[in-house]
Amino acid sequence: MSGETLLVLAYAVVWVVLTGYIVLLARRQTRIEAEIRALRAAHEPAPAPPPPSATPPSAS
Amino acid sequence: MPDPGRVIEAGLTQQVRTSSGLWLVALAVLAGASVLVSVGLVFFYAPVEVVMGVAQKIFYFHVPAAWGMYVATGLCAISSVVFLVTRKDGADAFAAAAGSVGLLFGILLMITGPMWARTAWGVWWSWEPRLTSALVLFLILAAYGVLRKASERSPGLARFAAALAVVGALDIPIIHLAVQKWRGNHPTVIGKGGGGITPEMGLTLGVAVGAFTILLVVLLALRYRVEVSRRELARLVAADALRSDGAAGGES
Repeated sequence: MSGETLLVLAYAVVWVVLTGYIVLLARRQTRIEAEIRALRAAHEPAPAPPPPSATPPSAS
Repeated sequence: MPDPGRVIEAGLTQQVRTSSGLWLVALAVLAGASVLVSVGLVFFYAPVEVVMGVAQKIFYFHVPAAWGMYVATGLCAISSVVFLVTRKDGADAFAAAAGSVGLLFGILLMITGPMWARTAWGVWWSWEPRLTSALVLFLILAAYGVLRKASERSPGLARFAAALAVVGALDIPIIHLAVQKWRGNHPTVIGKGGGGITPEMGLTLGVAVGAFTILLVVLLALRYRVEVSRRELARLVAADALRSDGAAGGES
């Protein structure tokens, strides 16, 4: 294998590994945050019902 | 009416998150720019070495990868000691992040090293002291990664992982001194007996090490963020399971 090929191969591998790691981290972060949001939403207390209005709705 | 204290606390937390996010983006941009400058210097500024030819330029990413592995392993060991002494979850999370980034740089080192050796020595690998001791550290970091993964299910293993990180850090001076003490084939560039590179090569190497250091900080911050979120999710899942058990117990 020539020196030029080894140089190009070495640099390509470095960038592929680094990019792959960043993509993996980003995907993992997104997945975890989605799971956290889903869990929190499932346990949030239901919104309180609106207070009864003082005046009854007019029958039109 | 919402508690004013909680409102202030939530506001401050949001502000801290936003500012740390901005810092991270700024650092990531800086890392990208410095890496681009470094690549430019490697290919258009640094001279071609007479004996090895262009393949010698692998060295400009091989040495920073070794530096990154050393720094990340050192940080992992320091935060592991802090965790062993204080049992603080944050220190353990930081150690896990540093160990992961250290392994990443170790992979880069172990890929670029044999490519350089093939041109310089005519062989892909030689069992000489520096290479062997660097391989030992790489294997320790790989074992640390396996232990960390296992500790996600068995938190007690985190202490063993921390102890392993300290053992890994003890290997760093051995790697560094291997050439001087045991007369290996590996060249010494930095430190006593180092040199043999032109000023242009030295500048290019310095910029590459700087770029990789900034990259290391960015990767460490990203990995730490993932680790903190993962632990938060684990706590929420555990709380959810407890709540479900309680509800089931109440029904029966």
